[in-house]
Amino acid sequence: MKKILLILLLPFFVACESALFEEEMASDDPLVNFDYLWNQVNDKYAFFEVKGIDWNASRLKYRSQLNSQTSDEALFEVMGKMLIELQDGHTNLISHFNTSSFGVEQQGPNNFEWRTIIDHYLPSDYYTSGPFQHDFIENNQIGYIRFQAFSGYVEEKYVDFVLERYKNTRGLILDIRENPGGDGEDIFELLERFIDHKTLVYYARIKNGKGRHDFTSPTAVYVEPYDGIRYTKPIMLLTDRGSYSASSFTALAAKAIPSIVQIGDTTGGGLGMPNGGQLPNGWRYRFSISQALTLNLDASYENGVPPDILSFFDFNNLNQDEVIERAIQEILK
Amino acid sequence: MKHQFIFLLLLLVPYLIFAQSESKLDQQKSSEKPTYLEIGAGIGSTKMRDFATSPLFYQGPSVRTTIGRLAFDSLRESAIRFTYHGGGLSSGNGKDDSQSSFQSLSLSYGRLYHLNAISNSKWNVKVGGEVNVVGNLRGNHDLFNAALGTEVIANVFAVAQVGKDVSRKTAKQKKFLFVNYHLKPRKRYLSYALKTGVLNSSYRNSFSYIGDYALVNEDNPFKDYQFNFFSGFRIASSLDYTIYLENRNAIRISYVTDIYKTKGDVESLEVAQYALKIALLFNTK
Repeated sequence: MKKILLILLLPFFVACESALFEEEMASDDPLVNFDYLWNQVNDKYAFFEVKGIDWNASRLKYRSQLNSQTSDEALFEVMGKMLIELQDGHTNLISHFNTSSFGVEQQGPNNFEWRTIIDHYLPSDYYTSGPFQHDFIENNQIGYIRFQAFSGYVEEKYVDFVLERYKNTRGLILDIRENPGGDGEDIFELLERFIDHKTLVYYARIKNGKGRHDFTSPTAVYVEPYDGIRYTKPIMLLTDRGSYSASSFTALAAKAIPSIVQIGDTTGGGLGMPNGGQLPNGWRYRFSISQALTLNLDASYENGVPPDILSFFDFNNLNQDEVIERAIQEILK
Repeated sequence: MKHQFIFLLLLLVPYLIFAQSESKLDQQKSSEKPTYLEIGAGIGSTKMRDFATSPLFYQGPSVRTTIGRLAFDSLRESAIRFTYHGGGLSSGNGKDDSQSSFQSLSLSYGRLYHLNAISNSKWNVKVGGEVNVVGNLRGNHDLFNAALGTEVIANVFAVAQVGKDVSRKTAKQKKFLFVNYHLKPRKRYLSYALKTGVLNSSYRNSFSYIGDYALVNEDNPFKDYQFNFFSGFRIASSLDYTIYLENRNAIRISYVTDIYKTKGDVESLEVAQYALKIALLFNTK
């Protein structure tokens, strides 16, 4: 009886899960890893139709460059190029020896030179309050605020100080050129200071199935006014192709806020939220799995949020920032 | 909301059945049933794979702690336990190795009843049920926005336990090499319980795994989570060796396993936990 019992119980003590779980999938086979990545993107990527991407053609084009003997570096190069076909700065392939990326900021001209601003607009002892570098310009009529990254530190104490300091100005310049994005919550910590009533700013939806049209119903995204210090006079939002992700979300939302005028170049886009995952060989990837939509339910701003006033930095004259000059003109008109 | 209500009702079914059965048992015996406060700790391992983010198994050592209240005699037993099982896991992929933390907390309540039909003087067989709810929290910075994984797994188990009294009835004189030693009579009990999930449910990330709550100005990280009812499986077991002390307390050495897999519309999660633990049972009645 004892022996029979032991024999019956033994499987439950020794790696019982082997019989219950799906098969081991770790693999260094180049084709296995290629197929895994291609399928993940095929099932979940959010912008195939918005960007007119033929993903099946990409499979044919790149898979034919691989075989079971392909080296890791060659495999990485092929898969990295395949992901670049998505034209999406939120898409990367990461291994211990390289990271692939799509150069969003290089899709347009350089439109920002910080040295020009600190040499010719800001005093040498300009303020730095948390994530904001700022000071008065144009004879104290305007507050200039440089916001270089959505670092997650847009805290009340910083915003309160900045807005209180410039409360008597005629307008603000909020400069998010070459701001690559970051923490999405910062978007709303900022925008709630610039409105005086609950405002519908955009819609968002996320993939919920493998089909190209499988998305959740669009969620209406609102911003409610902050119960405290706010600024509702004109705000010039300066953007360029380096204004990406959370910067583009800010520009998209600003379209619904009448006091904000976007000046500069089209943003870099990045209105999809990137996921994160791993391949059978341990390499990691990410790509966009959601969409942000305009108030007309248009997803095309993924390719960049266009400015209300187009303006470019003239690098033949580093003593002046034409984008800031245009913003000043707009505030003082 | 309707689904949640049905789910809660199903969780109550075993209790209703057991409550009905208990009323037929002798109340005198119930009041005499010894009860124990169980405090236990042990070491073990965890193996996990979440297909929503990776096809790779993550595994590594874990610690397990439990605190519970047990009441048992030869006819019945009940147990309510709060268990922590957690540790650091690795995908073990050489230079592209990734690390993940895995913490789980579970709350369980179960009852067992002597099954006279197949018990005999040597083997005591009990059957019953257990409700078990486990919440997992996983962290893996290599997965970017999918770095944080959390889910709740809720199950109703059918439980079968077979036990045998392995007490030393008489004192024994033993010799090991040149050392003579004396073994006193000692009450000991060996049991094995196999638990099979009959109602398996999970509350887990939706298809895209990550939620977009931060970008829609909401504070609810579970905005895109979904219930999956009557899907997946779970099987658990416990091999217990209990040594009773002269002061009415006891020491229990256990080898426990817990294996589950979610199913449904989203990619599945596979988890296997093993632990060898020792628990002190303090007699409270």
